[in-house]
Formats: sequence, structure tokens, C-alpha cells
Amino acid sequence: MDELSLITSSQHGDLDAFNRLVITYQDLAYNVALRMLNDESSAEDATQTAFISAYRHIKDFRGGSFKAWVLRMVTNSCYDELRRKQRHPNQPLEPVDLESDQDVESPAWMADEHARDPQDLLEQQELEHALVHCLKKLSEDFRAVVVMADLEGLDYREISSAARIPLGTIKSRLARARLKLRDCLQGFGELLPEKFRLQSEETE
Amino acid sequence: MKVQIAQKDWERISAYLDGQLDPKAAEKVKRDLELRPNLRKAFADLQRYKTILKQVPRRQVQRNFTLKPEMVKSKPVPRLMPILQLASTAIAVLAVVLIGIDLVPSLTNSAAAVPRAAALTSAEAVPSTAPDIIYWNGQENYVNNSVGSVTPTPLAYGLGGGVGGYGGGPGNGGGGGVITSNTVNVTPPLTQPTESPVTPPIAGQVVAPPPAKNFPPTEPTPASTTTVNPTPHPSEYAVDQAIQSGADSPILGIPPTDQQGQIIPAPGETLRETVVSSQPSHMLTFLAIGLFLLAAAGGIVSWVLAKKK
Repeated sequence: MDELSLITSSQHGDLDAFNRLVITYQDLAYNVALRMLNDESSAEDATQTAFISAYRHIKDFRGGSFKAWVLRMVTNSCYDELRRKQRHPNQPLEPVDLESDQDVESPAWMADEHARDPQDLLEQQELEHALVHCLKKLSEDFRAVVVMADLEGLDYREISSAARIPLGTIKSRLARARLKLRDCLQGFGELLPEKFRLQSEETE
Repeated sequence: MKVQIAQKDWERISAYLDGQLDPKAAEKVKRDLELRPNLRKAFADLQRYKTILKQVPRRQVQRNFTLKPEMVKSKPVPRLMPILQLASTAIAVLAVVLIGIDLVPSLTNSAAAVPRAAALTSAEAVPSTAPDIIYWNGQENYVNNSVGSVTPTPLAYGLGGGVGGYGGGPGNGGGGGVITSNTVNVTPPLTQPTESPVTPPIAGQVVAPPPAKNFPPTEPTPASTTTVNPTPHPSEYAVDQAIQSGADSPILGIPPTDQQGQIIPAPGETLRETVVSSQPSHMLTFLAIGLFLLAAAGGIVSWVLAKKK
């Protein structure tokens, strides 16, 4: 069954058909939410809320990229979550190693199955740490664009549809976000593994 | 070494890297990259940036986000909500109608306000021009004028007295009635006329005076002593003026002959009418404001319920 048929069935109330679409896009949705919110439980909540909202409004889908439409739900859900966090800030619970009584930055259940080499795993963790730090510094709008374009590989039209922003704005916003992110990553300098270091030049 | 490139160039090479430029613009960027080493260096750096970000590991979802029927079951709308919405709308409409009802008479009244105000002014002016106080002194009648002198007048006649209309004073009746001013001491009684018994006038009515010839001259009684206060009452001057100008009936609100038979509303009555008619208007305004507040409260509750849903 192709995507269009699943969408049509979902529009007629077929929850199983919609769940197949969920399975297709849940990885993308969750990763976007995670990069936007930088918190796993919040990202899970936002993703779940986005899919519920997508099912309830699927009759409003008028064609085009379903991926972009789902991502619009996800980004909206993330914005809601960010606003809620601003109203009710709280301190997230960090996983703690009971033996050493110290915070564990990357517990075992967070390990990527594909990163088998410990050296690679360590370097990727350092890169991720730097990336998380730099994404936090970006504004929400810049963050959403750069996550969708550079981390999830969406094209400009999909980002424009997902973020409801004109194409020209996407171009300029993405360029500026990249510049900020690159500058921030350059600031890590020697802290990053050599293969992840960036050279530096300035814009006027 | 740090090199500087323009923001616009950065945007161009960013879009060029993503393949989002039209062929003409892409060709221009390609040419610029060949000609400008700084731009070429920035482009290489951007490529590296993209390559690095692609190496950031993707997180695997720890659970499925598939939906269960109970998750997508829409919550029932509270029964109260449509009722509140309907009630709020109805109350708002009612409030608008009430304000409309309140406004229309006030608009029509404002058009008639000028003649009414003129009538009110003339009615209020009556006491200042119509003298009320007549002094009897047996053989002659005196009117106290503003300069303190007592002017003799022809024999007064009329209905003055305790049972008279608003023009009457606390005297004993026509002909021989005695009206006091601030310091006038009067010793009753005075004889009432034996002929042409007169029924007491009703307030607001004007009774034409009987002809003077029907009243026999009344002899002064020894007990009747009157002391006139040298300080005149302001209205007394007007009486004097009316007498001197030859008015027909300057006594106790009896109108001149050309106004006889007409009904002139008393100033107090006119004012009372105005006050009574303005009370419902205020009530309507307060009622409309109250209804508006009620409608707003209902609307807010409906909105909160909808938000919770």
C-alpha cells in the first residue's frame, strides 16, 4: 500500500493505516523534536502529541509532501513545548551512576547501535555535545530550519511547507543559521576531534 | 588566517551548495568561486560543515508512537458549553436591544429639549413675576414694594386663603384673607364674603376671579392689626410693577384676562415629570451594563471550557 492510499484510508478513519504512516515518519519526527527541545522525554511527548494532532487533522491535508505536513505538526508541538517550558521552567533529571554517584552524560541505553568502535563513539559524543551546545544558542526559528536542512536533509520546499515560511526567507535564514552554528563549532576548536574541526573565516 | 566575505555571498554559496539556485545564478556563483579565493575558501568550509553535521548520529526512537483508539478519541464537549455560548449570545443581543431602546427616546427627547427647556425656564420665571403676597388692611389694601413703601391698591378680591391653590397663603379666605411675610403679625379673623360662595381651587387649575362689584366692602374689625415689615420681599416689587403696568389680575397667580381658561403647568410638576421619565432610562442603562458583564462572563467561561477541550 503506497503512502497516498494510506493517507486516504486515514482520512476515512482507518487508524491502522495511519499507524503505518507513523512508523514511517516517527524516527524523523522524534529526531527533529529532540534537536529542537534537547530533552528526550519532552521530545517524546512532542512527537506523540504531533501524531495525535496529525490524525485529528488529517482531513485537512490537501496533498503535497506528507513528510513536510507531519513535520509542521512536530515543529508546532515543539514550539508549544518550548513556550510551556518558558512558563514553567524545571530542572531535568540527569541519569546518575549509583556506584560512583556521578552524572552519566551518555548512559548505555543512549548508545547508537551503529557506532561500534569506542573511539568513533567517543568522538561522536564530543561532536554531539558541541552541537547541542551550539543549537541551544540559536533562536527557535533558526534552530528549526538548520535541523531540518542540515541534520534531517529536507529540501527547501519541504522546510518552507513545514515551517510555513517563504522560500526566500528559508534561504537567508538557513544561511545565517549555518554561519552562527559554524562560528560556534569553531569556538570548540581543539576540543573537537580533528576530523570535526572547522577552519575559520569571517563575514563582513 | 581569517578571511571576510559578505553576508550576501554567504547566502549565495549556501544556496548553491544545496542546489537551490536557478541555473543562471548557479553559473554566476560558479564563476565567482573560480575568481575569488576567499569565496572559494568559505565554500570549502561550508562543505566541511555540512559533512560534519551529517556525521552527527541519529537517535533511535526508544518506543513506537503508534496511536491507540483511546488516544485519538475526542473528548466529549461539556454540555454546559453550548448552553453558555447560546446564553452569552442571547444576553449580548438583549443588552444591545436595551441600549437601543434607551438611546431612541433620548434622541427624540434631545430634539424636543429646546422648547421644553424654554417652557421650563418660563415656568420657573413665574414666581419671580407673579407676586404672591398681598397685605390687607381693612379699608385699603397695601402692597409692599421693593423700596419698603406701602402702596395702597383697590380692594383685593379672590380666593386666597388656606384652601386656595398654590397662589394662596395661610389666610382665612377670599376678600379678607391675610397673608404674612417674614415678620408680619396678623390677627384673624376676617369676615368672609357672604355672596358668591366660591369653591376652593384645585392645584393647577386657574379660576377666573369674580367681578369686584360682587364683593361688599368689608368693615375693618378692631381686632385686625397688621404690622408691615419695612424690609420688602423681592417678589413684592414685581407685584407692584404688575399693578402699575395695568395688569388685570395681579393677585395670587390669577392670570390676566388673555390667559384665562388656559392651563399652565406648575413649575414643580414639570420638573417632577422630567425626573420620573429619566429614571427608567438609568435603569435600562444599568440593566444593559449588567447584561453585558454577564455575557462577557459567559463568553469567558465558554472560551475556557473550549480551551480545556
